[in-house]
Amino acid sequence: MTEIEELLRDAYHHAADTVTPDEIRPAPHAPTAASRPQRSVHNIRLARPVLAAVAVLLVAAAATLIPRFLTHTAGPASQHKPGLLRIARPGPPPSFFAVLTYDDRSLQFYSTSNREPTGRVSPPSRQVTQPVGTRTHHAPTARYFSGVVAEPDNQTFIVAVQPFHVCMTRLYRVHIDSSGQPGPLLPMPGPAVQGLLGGLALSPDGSTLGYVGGKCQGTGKVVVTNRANGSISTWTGQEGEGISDLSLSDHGNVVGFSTWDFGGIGQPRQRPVTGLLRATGGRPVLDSAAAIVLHEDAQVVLSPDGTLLYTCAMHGANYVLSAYDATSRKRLSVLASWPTERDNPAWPRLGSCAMAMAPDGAHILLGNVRGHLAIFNTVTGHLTQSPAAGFNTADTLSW
Amino acid sequence: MYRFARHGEDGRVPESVRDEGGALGATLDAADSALADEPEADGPASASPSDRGAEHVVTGLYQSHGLAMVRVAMLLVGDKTTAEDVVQDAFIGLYKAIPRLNSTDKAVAYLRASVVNGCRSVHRRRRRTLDAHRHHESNVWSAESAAMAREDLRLALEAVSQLPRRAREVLALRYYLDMSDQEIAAALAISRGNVSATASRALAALARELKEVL
Repeated sequence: MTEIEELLRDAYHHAADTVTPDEIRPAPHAPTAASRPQRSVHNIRLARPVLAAVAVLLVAAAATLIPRFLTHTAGPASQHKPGLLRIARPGPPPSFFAVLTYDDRSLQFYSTSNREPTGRVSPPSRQVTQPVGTRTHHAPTARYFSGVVAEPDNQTFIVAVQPFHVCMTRLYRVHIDSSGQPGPLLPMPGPAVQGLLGGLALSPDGSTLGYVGGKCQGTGKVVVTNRANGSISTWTGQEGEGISDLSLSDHGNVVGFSTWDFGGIGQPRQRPVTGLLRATGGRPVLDSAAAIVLHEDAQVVLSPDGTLLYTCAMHGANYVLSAYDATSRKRLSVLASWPTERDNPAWPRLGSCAMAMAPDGAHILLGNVRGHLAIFNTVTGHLTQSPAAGFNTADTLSW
Repeated sequence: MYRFARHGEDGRVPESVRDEGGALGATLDAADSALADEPEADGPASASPSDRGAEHVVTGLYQSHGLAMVRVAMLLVGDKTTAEDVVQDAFIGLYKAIPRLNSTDKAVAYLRASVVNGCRSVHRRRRRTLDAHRHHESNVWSAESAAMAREDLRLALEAVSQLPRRAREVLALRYYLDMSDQEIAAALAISRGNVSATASRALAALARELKEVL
């Protein structure tokens, strides 16, 4: 043993001997409610300020976090996500989605999981009787799909079919099987609707169907149909103002739309407005206070409860997905952004991106004219992008 | 080897599982006889026979190891009051740990580790501003304390107090409790090599610091 070790051992035992057996406390009793262990005042005094500090921290954290989830407090871009409590029915995204391509106006179905196409449907061809003989000629481009919406079951899709240069539109229904393979187009009962059905919309609960009717040129008219009792209510916009991108909340209580000018494709917009209609006495009334002025060509979708309005617009070289409070008109946050395809000279009007809200309100399907798809999860705030899924352009999405 | 898990319904220690010889065996015998002599009505109204058996076991361990635990805790934290707090907490914790400790060796090892952890907690609390202005009993090695008669020993402990926390723990367990490096490694949850290296570095540091004393 070295000298330092001997010194250390002596020091330890010398110091330890200052504690004698008769002056230490007795053994503690079992910790019961009636018998508390004998403690000095040091630890008890320490516990109070520590507990007070913990309580203050908990209160501060609650005051910061709870309002963010409950009221969607606005803040810097990409900092805030929609609150969890706004999602009424979270769940997996629908299994299949439909795409109306901008180039050939065909209806294509895709699997959400792997983005692989599962089937394709062409517009119903108009039979033209030739002047000589009895042979019929099928003109595949004689009609085109102008809109598609999905029923809540994600197996039945309603499509609007319109002949070129004719403002008469018919609705068809197409079913897909469990593998996403579409069946034949089945005409839905009812007369043809006059007008351009550019804004076909179905409420997430499937109870209300909306579309933009009226004249093909000029004033647009929002038509909201209750599918249970057949009641129809309309709202007419201002003269010379077109309406597009219709979106309905559950039961059609809130109708979101965006307007567009007829000044020409690619021309600057004069009155860029996204508006909301609220059902008052069964009739949609413009909620002028809820008009959200957007200085870009935006598409809109509503959350199922009608409290949130999601817009997809182009800012510079990026698409930007934003969320607005449908009541206060305040932009809550920029949820995501991704590059545009502005370098494509073939399509001058590239600012729009197609959007579709899943019935659960937790997933938004986004697509652009190059077929790039993205799924935004409104619960987690995560954007899942995928490469082109086999189509060139996406004008309308639905799932 | 005595096993806590094999208590009888009456809380007595079965003969077949007694520890053979040693202070702890005597302690357990005393606890056993105390249980046998104690009338049932004398115990707490809410205490079951197994609870009373556990209390006797803890009391026996306190009688055999309590003083040493207080002393080593005092060497680590510096004052007797705080050291007694730490040891009281360790034995209170032993009540809860008894069901999962199946031997006396494990119980003693549990107490050592619990005391060392309690001393660490004391040092953490003392580092806080909240606790810095509170009056503490003078450390036994401080110049104000009259406990240490020999100045060279006081200087040695004062030099030890300047060492890192793990070095202080290793030295106290090795040179006061005479624990092996293996036992120290188990108590501090570190490797045996780490114990040796820490002790070597600490002794070298002390030799440099105390070269005038030696």
